[in-house]
Amino acid sequence: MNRNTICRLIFMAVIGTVVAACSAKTQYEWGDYNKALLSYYKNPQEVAEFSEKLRESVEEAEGAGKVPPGLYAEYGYALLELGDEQAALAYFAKEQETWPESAYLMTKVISRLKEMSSATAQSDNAQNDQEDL
Amino acid sequence: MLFKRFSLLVILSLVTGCAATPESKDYTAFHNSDPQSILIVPVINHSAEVEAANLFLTTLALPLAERGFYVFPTNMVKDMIEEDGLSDPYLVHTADTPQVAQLFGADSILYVEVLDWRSQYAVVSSGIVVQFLYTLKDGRSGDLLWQEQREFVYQNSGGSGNIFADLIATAITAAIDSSRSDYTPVAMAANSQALLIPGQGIPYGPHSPDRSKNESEFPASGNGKLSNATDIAAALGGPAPTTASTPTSEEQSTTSDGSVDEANGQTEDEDLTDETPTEN
Repeated sequence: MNRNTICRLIFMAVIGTVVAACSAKTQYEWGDYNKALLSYYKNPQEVAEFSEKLRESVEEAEGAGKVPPGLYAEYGYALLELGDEQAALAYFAKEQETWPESAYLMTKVISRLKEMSSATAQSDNAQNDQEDL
Repeated sequence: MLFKRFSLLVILSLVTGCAATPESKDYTAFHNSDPQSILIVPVINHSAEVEAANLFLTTLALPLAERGFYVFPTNMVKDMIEEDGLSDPYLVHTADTPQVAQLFGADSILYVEVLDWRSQYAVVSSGIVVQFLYTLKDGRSGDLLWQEQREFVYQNSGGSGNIFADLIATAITAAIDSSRSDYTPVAMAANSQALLIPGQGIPYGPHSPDRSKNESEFPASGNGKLSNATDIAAALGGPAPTTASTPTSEEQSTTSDGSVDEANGQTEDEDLTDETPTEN
């Protein structure tokens, strides 16, 4: 092993460490989550597109077994915006199961949703606009 | 020979990189609070770049979740806060921290302000100047847990002489050029520098595989200061952005509880100036 090889090895090790430090593997699979958020904020009317992108992110994350915190709830909330309460409830429940830290908020949101839908079922009055979750 | 020189250069820049790192912050309050979850509220924008706030908001969840914290869903939180009548970010930042945290069951709240975001054109090079203020407060007491203010200049052409800075700048420039108006890489880079540097950033959270490194990288002692900020955050009583709509006098007179003032006192109150810190 001559000097040059040793230097080369040291250099490789240093670069390797730097690269590893810079592009460290992520704990979670995010898909295009922040891209989806950004394009939704640029075009707020595109809820359906946003929801679809979140669905893809959820699928990818579940496939990798690394669902990031907040993703299930984020998707559930987009579904709720689209009027799909049942699906929204399911994803809020998933968020709660996966992340105990979300329990307070998810329980609150789920029970409000259930209250609202039972209120709507009882009286068919159009007075169900209490979207104040 | 060439390799030897190059590796020396690499090691040298690493050493200087480390030597330039300031003293470790005081993480006593952070470790005592030991937050499990972080609520990211909408970003205040003081710059003329209208999209800076939302763009920045979309890049925060990832680094904090990867840091090991439960991070509340960005858009769901933004929407719920707006429906609660706090559609101006300044109102959320100045609202009572424990009260907001309680709405979501959050252990802590992260307030971010874009202090500056502008393109800079010079003869030899052009770039983007960005400056951010990050403030993390305890969700129960409202105390300041951590704060960081940073300015970055990203050059589009020309070199700074620091090969690592140049490498990063080139990568960012390439990423920006390919999608024109998407400055996400700039925000991401700013986040990593503000949040991840040992002794300066946010310690590892409960879900992080690196949590055991907290003792060495984020010791409770440090320099006795929680913050390096020269500007006062809105969450600590700082000024409203001039670009956004000004709140009514009634809302403005609402000051947060005493614990906030106490926290503000720990952020070098006397040294507060309007000077913009320049790194590099």
